[in-house]
Amino acid sequence: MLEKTEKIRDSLKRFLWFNSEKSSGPPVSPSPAPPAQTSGPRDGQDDFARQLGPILARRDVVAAGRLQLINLARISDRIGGRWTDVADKVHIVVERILQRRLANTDLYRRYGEHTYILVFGELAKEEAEIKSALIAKEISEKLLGANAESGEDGVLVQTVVADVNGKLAVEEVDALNIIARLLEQAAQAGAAGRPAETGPQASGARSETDNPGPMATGVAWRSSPGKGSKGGVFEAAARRQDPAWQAPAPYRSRPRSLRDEVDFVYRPIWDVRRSALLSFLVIPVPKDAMPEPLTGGEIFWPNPEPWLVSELDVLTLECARRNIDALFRKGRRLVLSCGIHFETLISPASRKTYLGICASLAEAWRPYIQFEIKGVGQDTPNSALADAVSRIRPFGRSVFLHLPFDCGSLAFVEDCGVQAVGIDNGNSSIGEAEKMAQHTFLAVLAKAKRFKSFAYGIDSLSMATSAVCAGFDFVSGQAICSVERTVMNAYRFNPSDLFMKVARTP
Amino acid sequence: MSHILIIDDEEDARATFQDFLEGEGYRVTLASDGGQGIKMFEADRPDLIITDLLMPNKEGIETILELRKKNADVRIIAVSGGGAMGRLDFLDMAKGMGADHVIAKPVDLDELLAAVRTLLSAPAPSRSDYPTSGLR
Repeated sequence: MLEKTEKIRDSLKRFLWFNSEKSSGPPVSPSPAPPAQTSGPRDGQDDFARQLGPILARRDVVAAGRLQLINLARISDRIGGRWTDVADKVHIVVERILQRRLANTDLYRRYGEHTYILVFGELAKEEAEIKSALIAKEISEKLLGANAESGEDGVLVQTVVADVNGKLAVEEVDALNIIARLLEQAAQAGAAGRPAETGPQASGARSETDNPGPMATGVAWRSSPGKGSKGGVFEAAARRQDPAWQAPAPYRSRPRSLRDEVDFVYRPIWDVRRSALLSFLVIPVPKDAMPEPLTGGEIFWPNPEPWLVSELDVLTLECARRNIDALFRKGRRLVLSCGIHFETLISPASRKTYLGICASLAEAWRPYIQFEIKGVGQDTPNSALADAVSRIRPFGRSVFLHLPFDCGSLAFVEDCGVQAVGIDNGNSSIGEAEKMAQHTFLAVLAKAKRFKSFAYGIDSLSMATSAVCAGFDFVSGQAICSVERTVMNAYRFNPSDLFMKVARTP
Repeated sequence: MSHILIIDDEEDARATFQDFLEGEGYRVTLASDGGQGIKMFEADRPDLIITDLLMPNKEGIETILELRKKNADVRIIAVSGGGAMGRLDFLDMAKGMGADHVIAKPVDLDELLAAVRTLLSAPAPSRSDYPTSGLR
């Protein structure tokens, strides 16, 4: 089976080379003499491929967000029929800017009529996006005048990302917003009497650009779009037209108290067999709380009322729906996993509300929603569990079942339609040695019953090693990857990644 | 007399290694997990460490990485069940991250003794920067 990374690389090569051979665009225009610091496509495609090879071999440039596109299509549209007359001059201008702004470790290549592919050898995604945004702004100003801005009518910046199946997609970078934030930071730095930090090393820049818009959290989704952000307007309009956004009336009319108290974070789930972080747990957390120690709704309140649990399940699903929608709009495909408590599914009123939201999920989104049933005991009747699973199964990719930690048998789970069973270590206070013994027992049991298995709440390297060695298919927790404020791209993740932090700590 | 520290959470394994190696004339001390092993290493400075990989509280590879930061020259043998566990080969990873020799359980005591003698008789290797491989 082809590893995900190889798939992405193959896809990338096709994208860069094979597809480009079919391009109807003009040949690469002759470039002026380049300065020393630039590594461009001056010797044609072979040279570009030769230089790109080591970068692809060294790192996963797509997963790292280092592959950016600069798109001139909007400028071409704006110029109209005169584009063919001025195209060669435009490309000379663009290449001069690229050669001046890119580092020795970066590469670029023109692709087709309007697009430049930029490969940043060393930068992180947000750094690459900032640099691309600044380049786009400079190109826009050069071509359209000093007051021109990149984005809406100017140069478009896009990041190449990989979806859950390893296919490539492009994600639009909100260049206007990035530049506005940089200017704001510069102004603040100036007011504070210190040099402006325009680079992404500034922690503020990193967090802001990591969290570019309404996809980030429930809070950000509801907030007004920032200066220059079009996403909020477009998405609001789309929501009005999209039947998937019509939540059931009973829920819409409820008080918003819990909704206003809850925020969401996202924890990557390691698919051990595929060596990748491909799906994300949607985790509710109290607003203003430090999310790192929290693992989910179980510790949200010590003894939650049933209606609070059901409400939380609904909010979690709504959050996932917003994110799936935002991801789709950006051309990305990642699986989001939503916890749902068993009691929500057995109570007629809460079940009706929850299933109403499920039914409103667009068909296309359902392969990217995963349900995780919690709160089941070994004494749960098999028929009740099977009934609960059958009600939500049509609306998602799969149904995982959280077992009680001391579960000794899977008889009550058999033939009830779940795809995976597992445990959340964060909900148990027993020692690591006992947890490791239970890992081995449960993983073997699940395999014997032909279930996939998962272990969440992994908070130490010992527990991570134990979970992987026991044979769990999916592993998640603080020791694997910290929570994120935003759903990120899919990442390659190997066992050696577990130990990188220790190896690098002086 | 060379001093060997054995780190293993399984009491039977510790006792077996201890009996065998003391019978061969080595001084042996024992630790039940990586954290305790590192403390004993700092206190006693053994010549060689035999560590299990899959242990609670502080597992083997993490222990090896920390030992290498404290002393790049101490000889380390990593021992683990089956070698390849699931689809992973943690023993290979252990070697990449600083173990001088790796042995899969069940341990062949003759192989263990040969490895101990070889490592203790060899001059201290020159190491400056661990891990040398195994990390991307």
